[in-house]
Amino acid sequence: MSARATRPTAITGIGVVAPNGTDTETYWKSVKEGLFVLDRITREGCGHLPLRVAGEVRGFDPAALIEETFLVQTDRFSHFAMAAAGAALKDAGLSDAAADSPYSVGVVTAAGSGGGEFGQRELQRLWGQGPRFVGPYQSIAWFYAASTGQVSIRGGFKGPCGVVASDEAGGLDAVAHAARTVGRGTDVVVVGAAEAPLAPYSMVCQLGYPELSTAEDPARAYRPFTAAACGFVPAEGGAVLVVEDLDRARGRAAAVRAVVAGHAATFTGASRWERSREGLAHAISGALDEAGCAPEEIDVVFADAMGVPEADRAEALALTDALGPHGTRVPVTAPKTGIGRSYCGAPVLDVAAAVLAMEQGQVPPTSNVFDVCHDIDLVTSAARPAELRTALVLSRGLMGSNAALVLRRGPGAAPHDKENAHEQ
Amino acid sequence: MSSEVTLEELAALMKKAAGVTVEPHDLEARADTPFAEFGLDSLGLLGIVGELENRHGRALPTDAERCKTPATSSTSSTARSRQEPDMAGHTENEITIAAPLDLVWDMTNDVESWPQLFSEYADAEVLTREGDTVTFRLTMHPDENGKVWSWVSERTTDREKLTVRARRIETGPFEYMNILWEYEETPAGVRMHWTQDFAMKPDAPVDDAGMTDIINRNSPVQLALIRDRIEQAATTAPA
Repeated sequence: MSARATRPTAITGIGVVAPNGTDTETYWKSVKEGLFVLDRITREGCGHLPLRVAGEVRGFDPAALIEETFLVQTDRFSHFAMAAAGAALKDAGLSDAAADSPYSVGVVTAAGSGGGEFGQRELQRLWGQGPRFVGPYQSIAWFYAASTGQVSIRGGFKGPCGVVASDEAGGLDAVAHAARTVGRGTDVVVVGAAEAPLAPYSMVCQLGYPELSTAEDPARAYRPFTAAACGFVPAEGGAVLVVEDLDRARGRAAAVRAVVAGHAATFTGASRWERSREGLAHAISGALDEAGCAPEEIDVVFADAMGVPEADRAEALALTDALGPHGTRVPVTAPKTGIGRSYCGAPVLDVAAAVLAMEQGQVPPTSNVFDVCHDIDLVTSAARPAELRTALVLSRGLMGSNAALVLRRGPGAAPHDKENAHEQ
Repeated sequence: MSSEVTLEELAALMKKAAGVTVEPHDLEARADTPFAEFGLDSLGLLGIVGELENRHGRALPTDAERCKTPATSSTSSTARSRQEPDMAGHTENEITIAAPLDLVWDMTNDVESWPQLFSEYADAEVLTREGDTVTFRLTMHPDENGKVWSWVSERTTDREKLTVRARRIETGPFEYMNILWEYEETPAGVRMHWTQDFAMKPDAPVDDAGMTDIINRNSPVQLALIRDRIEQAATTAPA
């Protein structure tokens, strides 16, 4: 990505819809405090399924945020995306971005499963009442690309749009794709991922994953890097970022919250967790290379934290493979243990947390994890104050994709002093 | 069977199927406003058409989802609202033919022989035939200016229900043209009823009202001619 060297990409807006908060402020507060919100699944029609524990987004009222014309034709996963995109644009001060130059704004999302709940409803109509009772919006609502399309239509954005379908790590690949899009000349890209995998049909699709935790007790369901690791817990929600050309952001006096510095992705095959060590290490090295970043510069790692013993071991070893001795010293965290993994949404939530962590000078804790059985410095119990200039975010997908993203703190922000950042 | 679509029903459907909130009186006042301006997209319109078909138990013309405004929607659903001004073209013409149903059905649906049945067609060429659906090109005799009009239509016959639905595929000067023929046996013979729903393009040489007049002038002439030719065939046909 040589283009980035000439056109660095800034993150200027963050929007979050997560199980531990449906706005960025609440999300960060929950993450920093290690709030644990995994719970028994309460969604209708899910009670009889062997998947018991998840991170549900509760208290999210789409009708309060999104026009009815968009709601009727979209699934819950797009509701999350539209809400988060709206918040991110507002945060970036670009709510009217399309008014001036619609072609300068693009949209990229990643999606792992599409609109399962909407699709199930229409399929039930198909088999219960007949094909004439299937609504026409079924043709677009279930689709992986739905959120990109609806966010762009709702915002009036006519710049380059895309959808990354590359497994859970696609959340990071989407951010990289957005940065490349900026590098190629688009001023602003709205990028992120949100998922809604907690409908009966979607849950049945996940039951085949050997990595899925079917524990009954929320407190024991998702405990990566411990001897009690028994798989991962799925979640709803995600995050959307506004990325834009760094010079342009400075030009309009926007708060540059972070800079997308480097990315790389590899593929090592479905459920081959031992091999993911090599894949992840390559991804980390590639991302560092692109960022022009030495291993010792990494101040915090947001781990993938699959919660499967072989996968956790592979990740811990990959850190040392790629970072050398620094891999055992750098603070590592996995806030997703408190909220679950919202597939493609999970790594974007981690990017949001990493940006906020750098701004606040706090490494948030890995919720509900205590006895770490790997040679890494996992931050547990409470947030750890630290000056954070550079963050590494990792993600792996169940189908074998691995990705690493390097972020640098916004040039305008100083730790512990975000309120005064504009005076720097 | 009720075939009325009231403005209230249309407004409720727009809300349910497409999330568009609109007052019935607003639909009436803005009957010529494109649906898109009410915030209704093409899939939303398709959903309304589907819901209407399910409620009324009948299929709407295949072009129904292409209607652009509340006014045309009520027309192409063959269910005009009483309160609403009918802005698009709509004609109905019929004739009773003293001949057996089979003969009337066969002769009027033998598209290749239409040049011998109608006086207005110079040629009828069948392009494709699939089941009960035939696609064909009709060519008229030159008009007074020497222009030869020609277009492609698609017709689907339903012998059981005694109906034929047709629409122009090459619409020419028409925005759309949907035709329904209905046959009914009566004591006096077979009654053939033609219903035509259409709208002219803005740049067409005549407007909706003008085309309505043309059709209402021409159809009785053609119907009478067809009646005479079929009745003639009935008397000369071997018993």
